[in-house]
Amino acid sequence: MTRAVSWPDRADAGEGREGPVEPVKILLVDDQPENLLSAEAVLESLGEEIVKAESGREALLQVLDSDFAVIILDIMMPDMDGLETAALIRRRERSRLTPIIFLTALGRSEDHVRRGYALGAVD
Amino acid sequence: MAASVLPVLFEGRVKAVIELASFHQFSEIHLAFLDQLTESMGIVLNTIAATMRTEELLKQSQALAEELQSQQEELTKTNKRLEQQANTLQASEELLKNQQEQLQRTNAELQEKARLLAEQKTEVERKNREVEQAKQALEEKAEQLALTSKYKSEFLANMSHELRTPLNNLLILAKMLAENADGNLLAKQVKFAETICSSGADLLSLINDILDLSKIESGAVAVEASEVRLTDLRDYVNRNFRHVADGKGLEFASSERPCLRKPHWNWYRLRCSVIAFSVEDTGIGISADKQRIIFEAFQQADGTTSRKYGGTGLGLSISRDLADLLGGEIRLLSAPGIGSTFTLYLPETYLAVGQYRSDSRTAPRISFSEHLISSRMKPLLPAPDQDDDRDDLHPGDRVVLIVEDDVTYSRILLDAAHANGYKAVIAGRGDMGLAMARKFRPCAALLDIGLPDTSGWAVIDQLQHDPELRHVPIHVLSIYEDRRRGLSLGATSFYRKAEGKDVVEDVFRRIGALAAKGSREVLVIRAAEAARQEIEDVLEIEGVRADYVSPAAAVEQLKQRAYDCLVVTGDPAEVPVAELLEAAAERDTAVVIYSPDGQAGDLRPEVRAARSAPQLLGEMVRVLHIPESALSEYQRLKLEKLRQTDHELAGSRVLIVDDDVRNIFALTSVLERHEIEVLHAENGRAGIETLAADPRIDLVLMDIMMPGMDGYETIRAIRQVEALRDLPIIAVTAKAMKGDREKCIESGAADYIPKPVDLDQLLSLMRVWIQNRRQNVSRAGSAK
Repeated sequence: MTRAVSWPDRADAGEGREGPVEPVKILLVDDQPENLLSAEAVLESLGEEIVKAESGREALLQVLDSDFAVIILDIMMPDMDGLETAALIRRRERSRLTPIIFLTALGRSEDHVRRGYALGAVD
Repeated sequence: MAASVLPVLFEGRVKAVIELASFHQFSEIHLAFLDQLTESMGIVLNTIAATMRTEELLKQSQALAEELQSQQEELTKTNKRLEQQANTLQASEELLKNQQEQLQRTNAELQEKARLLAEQKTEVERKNREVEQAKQALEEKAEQLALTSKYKSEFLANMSHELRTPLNNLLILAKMLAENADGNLLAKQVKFAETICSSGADLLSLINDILDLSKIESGAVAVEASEVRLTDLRDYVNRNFRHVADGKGLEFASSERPCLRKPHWNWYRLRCSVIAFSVEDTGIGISADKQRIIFEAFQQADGTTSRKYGGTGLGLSISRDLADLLGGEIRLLSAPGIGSTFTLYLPETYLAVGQYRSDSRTAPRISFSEHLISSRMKPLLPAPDQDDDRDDLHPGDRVVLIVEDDVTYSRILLDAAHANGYKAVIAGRGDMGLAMARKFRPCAALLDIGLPDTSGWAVIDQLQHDPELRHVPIHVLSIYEDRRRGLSLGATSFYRKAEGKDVVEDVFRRIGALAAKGSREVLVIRAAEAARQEIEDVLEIEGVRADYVSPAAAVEQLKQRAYDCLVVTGDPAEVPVAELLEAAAERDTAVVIYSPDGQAGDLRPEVRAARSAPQLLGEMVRVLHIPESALSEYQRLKLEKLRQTDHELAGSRVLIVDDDVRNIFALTSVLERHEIEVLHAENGRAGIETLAADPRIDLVLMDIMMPGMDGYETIRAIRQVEALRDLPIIAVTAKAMKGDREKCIESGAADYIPKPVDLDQLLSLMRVWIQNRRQNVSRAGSAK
């Protein structure tokens, strides 16, 4: 299981300008609502604002509308997968530095890992 | 004494004369006798003479006969020689004939051999074909095999995904339930949740094991050999297993035999699977008959042990396969009731054995939505609609580019070019015009505004924004009357076609005057010291001479000398701007107002404003028609830096209406790079609402193909709104179809651009239309 345990540290490092009091926005992207539910359950305790998107499409619209401290992206999604979504997010100047964490139930296939890091995933 | 002279005659001709002398007189008898005698003497003398002649002739004829004979002899000799030669020839001929026959024989043999060879060749070819076929069949089989293997891997990966995803949710949620954070669950219920959790964890580890095993079997695991320090390995083992043993109340010890050093090792895999060099336990042991089967998948020594001791029965299979992969093996020593010792033997140096899936080694494949934005397209130049000089260009030729879709008019321009000593190339479309400008590097461009594919405004803008073409003077020849717009976009001159033939002559006069000019002369109004230094740096261009005068002397100086350009700086209160512009206009001098604070005011279209030194430099390139390549490297760098953000577009607001979020996102990304504020709408209706809510939008990019309300309909609806009547809308169409542009413009779009979008062209269109709108707005404002 690819699970990013260390993500809060990294997110803080990447978004140092965010005030400590103001809750930061976290974007959760997964095509399965059950996965969103459990991921949300895990992240809720952090007390940050969690925005959910059920497709790469929705995620892109969310990214256009607001800045996120971190984006957690499922890789396997229909139509536009996580890698493509991340590639688009990375190519936009404004979201180029937003940390992206890929979430996948796939085995840690080397190809995926390499592609993920190539796209600038932090974990 | 008497003397007598008697002629001796023969046939009336004197043959001799007889002279007789006597003491006596000759009597008549004597005389008669003598007469008779002379007669006979004449005959005798004649006979003697004839005989002598005959004799002589005889002699001559004899000599000739002799000569003839000798010649005949010689002839005979020659003849003989000839005969001999003929004989020799005949012999040679025979020899030749022989040789020819021999040759013919050889030839026939050769032909036979060639035939044989050809036969052999066809045979070989046939064999080759067979081999090729066999190879193909093999390749197909190999492909099928690879495919099958890929399907298997994919199936496993997908299955693991399908299994793990729900399982993962199950685990997380069950764990949270088990934690009972709200304290509202019974102890029994917490126990249930814990059981769900632990069973789920078991299932997960089973799935992981299956995946590991299948990966090793399919060769998807690659070995990355690197040096591992044994102490690190020992630390790793202690760190990870000591507490497991402690948890079960077992003693745990690790030791190192000194002979083992630096094994090459797949450290990465080792961390995932539980193996070590030698693992000894004091457990239940394994009987000899079971020692083999425990290495098979899903086998334990006793089918019931899994319930008692746990484990999936895959660990040893994985271990064995990993050992194989590393070129080693696992040996087992065990006795029931005493314990077991598993020993992993590995070669000291790792040698690659298995074959790794090569596709995992290739560069990452990333699929972007590349279809929307293309880099600069290079259109192929199709054959011209009419003959021009593109195939007849030589180094040193001065080329004029004609962008004009009217064949008759372009012919007129072509003839005028020839008459003035220029070569000319003709483009019937804007994109072709740009491509040809890049290819042929013309010394001037003659441009029409109404073009079939795009407006000439955009062509001016694109020429002006291409570093390599910015200096090319653009002379607009159009039926349009918007002179102001053309000049403010950067055209050098603007003529109406209707003005007649003089126009063409005037254009070529201007082109000729520029070509004839040696150095460029610039008049600079002397300004504050800081600005002056900047301007001096800018004008540090080869072939440019600058005069600096005080504001008071400027007008006079301008009247005296023909300057190419006037640079106005300084406090508007001190500088007689209006008078200067007047004087400049009279002498056809270009004017650039350099005001770093941006206070240029409302200017005439041909007057350009520069706010920074690099901008001033850019204007100089344009106004003085100096190619950028003539600038210093430092200056070029300055311009390059200036171009990185589009200052003309910075701060403008653009609405993108597109049903594909990818397109919105990709376009937003590139537009934001130019400091453009981007709004978006996913359909026509939302677009209209956004426009109604935000009056500060400068321009709309409208996708045409949208479900429901399409782009045409949306544009028409926008045009219905009074306040949005003049809002520039650029239609974006999926493919360039004939008539698309007309249709877009008919529905109310200002212009159109086909997908994939050429970014330069898009930015250019946006500049053209946003600038036009701002000018209209400011003019409308000043009119009030």
